[in-house]
Amino acid sequence: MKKHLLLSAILGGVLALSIAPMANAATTASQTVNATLAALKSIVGKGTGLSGTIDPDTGIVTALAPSFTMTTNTNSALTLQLSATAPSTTTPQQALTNYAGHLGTYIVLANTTVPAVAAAITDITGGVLTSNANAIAFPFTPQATVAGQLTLGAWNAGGSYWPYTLTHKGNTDANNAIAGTALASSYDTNDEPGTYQATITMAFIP
Amino acid sequence: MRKYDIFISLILFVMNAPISFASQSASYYFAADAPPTKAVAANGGNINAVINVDTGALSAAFTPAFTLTTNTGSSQALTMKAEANTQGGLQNAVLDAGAVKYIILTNSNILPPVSSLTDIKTGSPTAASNPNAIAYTINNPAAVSGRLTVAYNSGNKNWDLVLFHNGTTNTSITVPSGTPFTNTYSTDDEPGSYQAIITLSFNN
Repeated sequence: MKKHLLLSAILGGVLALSIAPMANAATTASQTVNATLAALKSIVGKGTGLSGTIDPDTGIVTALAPSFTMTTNTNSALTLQLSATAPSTTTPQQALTNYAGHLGTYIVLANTTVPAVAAAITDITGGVLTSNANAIAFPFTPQATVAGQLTLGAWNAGGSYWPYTLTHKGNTDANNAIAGTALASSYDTNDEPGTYQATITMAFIP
Repeated sequence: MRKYDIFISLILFVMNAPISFASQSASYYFAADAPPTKAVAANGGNINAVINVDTGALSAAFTPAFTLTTNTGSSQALTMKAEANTQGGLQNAVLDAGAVKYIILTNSNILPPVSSLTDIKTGSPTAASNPNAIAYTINNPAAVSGRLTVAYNSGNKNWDLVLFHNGTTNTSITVPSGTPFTNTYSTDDEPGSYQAIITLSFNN
């Protein structure tokens, strides 16, 4: 009698165990789909205020306004650099300069009709100002700091650029200006007729 | 004498045994109910992509897959739903506009307000009103002929499935790669991981 009870209990246990895994099977399952969005870093040139004339008598240039619109999707700090190059008979040369303390901030425009040698441009940016045929420097005003949106940093002499920090989601304008009288000793009769150019670049730095 | 004793003992045992077993086996029966097996498990598929920062397009289709297992051919009802996290907790992430259905992904790093989803669910979203939420087209889950039927529930904004196959059945749901629902992607969508949770459940 006791043996049968024991056997019965064992059989019951076996049956229970055989049913248990079914009862424990999950009746719900989930999957999480995931798409990564990086920071948007977009810059476009405004495309206006890019052409003017240089008065041959005074060396005054009509106002130019090489400006940009930056667009991003984050308020987190993003780093940018504003730089410029001027064409030469060889490679383009750094065209921005900031003479410490006395002369101010300038940009060198170089003649594309009668190209300047590279040394003519570096003569100006290096502050020598003794031999710079077909290269002329004009006052340059970079976009100033816009509180809460865009911060202008200190001139980087080694890299020849103005650093910015953008902290504004959406669109932010950087309006730069070229205007006024040519830097003394950068304009003279050695500057031949033609089109004087520089390429100004605003770039996000990874 | 000894052989005789053994013979008598065997006779007694044989005669006694049925009586003994009969009195015990009549008292014990086991009734074990084996309910239908209902198992669902994730079964791979692509669940990762990159959003193009210029266009908002998904770089790859999502294809989360599931495996259903049961031990009966009788009909069993299931529900597939999609949810996205917000500042107000998980919200239904499905909407339909005409014949097209969409799934909303939300930024898990910077959770959107519930109003972002509400705006998209109007079917005529305003870009500035749905920050950190982006909607993409989603297809119906895959039906399996003779095994699994699928019907979109426009009232609950989810899918009703009916399984009637003994054994294993696979299904999946696809979010095609491509551009987002108009006015759901903008510069108000901040960098981060945009997610939605797709769940398949037996109803009972």
